[in-house]
Amino acid sequence: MRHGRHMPRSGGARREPAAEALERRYRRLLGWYPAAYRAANAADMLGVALARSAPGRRWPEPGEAVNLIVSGAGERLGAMLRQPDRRDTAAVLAIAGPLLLAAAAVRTMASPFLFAPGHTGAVAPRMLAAAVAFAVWWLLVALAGMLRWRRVAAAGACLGLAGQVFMLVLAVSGDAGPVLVAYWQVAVALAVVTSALGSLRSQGRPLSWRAVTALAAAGAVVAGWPAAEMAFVTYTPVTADSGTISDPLRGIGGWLNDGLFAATLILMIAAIAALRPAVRRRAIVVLLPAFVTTALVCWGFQGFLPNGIPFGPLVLTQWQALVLIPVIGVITCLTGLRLYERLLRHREPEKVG
Amino acid sequence: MSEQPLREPAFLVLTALAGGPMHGYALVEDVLRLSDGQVRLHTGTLYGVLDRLREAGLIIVEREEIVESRLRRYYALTDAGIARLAAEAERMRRNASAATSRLRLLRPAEGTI
Repeated sequence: MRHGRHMPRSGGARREPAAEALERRYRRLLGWYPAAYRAANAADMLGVALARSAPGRRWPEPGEAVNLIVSGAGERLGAMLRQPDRRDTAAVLAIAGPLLLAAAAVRTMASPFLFAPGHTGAVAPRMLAAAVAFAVWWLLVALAGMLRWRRVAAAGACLGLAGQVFMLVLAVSGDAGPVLVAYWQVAVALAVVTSALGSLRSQGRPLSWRAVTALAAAGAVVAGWPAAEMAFVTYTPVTADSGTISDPLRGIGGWLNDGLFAATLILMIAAIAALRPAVRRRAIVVLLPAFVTTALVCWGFQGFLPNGIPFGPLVLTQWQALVLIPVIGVITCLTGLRLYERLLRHREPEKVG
Repeated sequence: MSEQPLREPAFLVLTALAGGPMHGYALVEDVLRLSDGQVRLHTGTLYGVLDRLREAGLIIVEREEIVESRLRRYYALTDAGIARLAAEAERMRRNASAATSRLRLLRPAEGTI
């Protein structure tokens, strides 16, 4: 090997020594840990990680890299849930989510289209039974959360998620209702499981009775919505086993739809307003993107009913919007929350001073 | 209510520290030796175990040194850690003894196992 100015060049750049490259890569892996943890332990951990590595290695061992990523992400999650405000927010979502899912299940029962003459007779009773089971199950999970039976609520949420995934599989295979609804319910159930697990160590009562009443009322409006729409839907038979239904979003039906949507929003705002500030702003991080997505489905996706039964299949752009908007929404709200809390922390010493 | 049994990495770390204060990499090496090469702790796992043991008051950071411009933190057992390791070793000894006597019943003709 030649050295100095005669050193061989690779793409015009000097090759970084192995030890430096390895250290840089380990430092990057340690970035998975929270900043406070890194400040306390990274130097010591780096020494151990480098000492464990065989001489001359440029890259961390794959097992060591995965271990640092998993441990760092776990520490991050643990640090997040160790904060009482975050645990309490999780406890709120572990009640609000199941209430929403129960309302969604009741909506399926109330859906006029299940009982329309053109609907396949064999599917309706099975879906009806599933809807009853899900409505009861999620109500029990919400009740367990309200009574602070945290482990029961978490176990119930996990089983409920398994059931919703099963319904999604059935929906994809074309046996049980629209995929859009099943997809949305799985996403909410996943958030409920995460919240229920995150709230295991929460201490106090997460929601006041006033907030629960407002949430339950919002759930009742959401649940009864399709039944109210039914009054404005007309079914016109075309053949013996098929027909067309009128667009319920036209005329008075459209106004009713908007009114019910506004009523749900007002009740949800009332429920959120009853939370203490630190929990309220965290709950909004999840609830605001969920509301924007729902608004998009109700109003933005032309040709779709609010209960998700499509007049035609979802186009790719709609799927992308449906997946991207909640994700981008949560990330944006989370960034906003962090900036706001940083601002609050800066203001706090001024107040003290 | 009785305490949860220690998991193997935690038990081995406490066992290693029973030999005297050690820094992180020395612990990895000693655990490997104690387990006959069966357990080679990853860095993330080691620090997870050390954090839990510190939170439980079973170990403390005894001192810190800078060696070749790198930080070395030495960990040591506390009195609670010594008691917990002794209790855990006794529990494992009882379990091993129960298993050995049951196995003797299973194979009486073979005598000792």
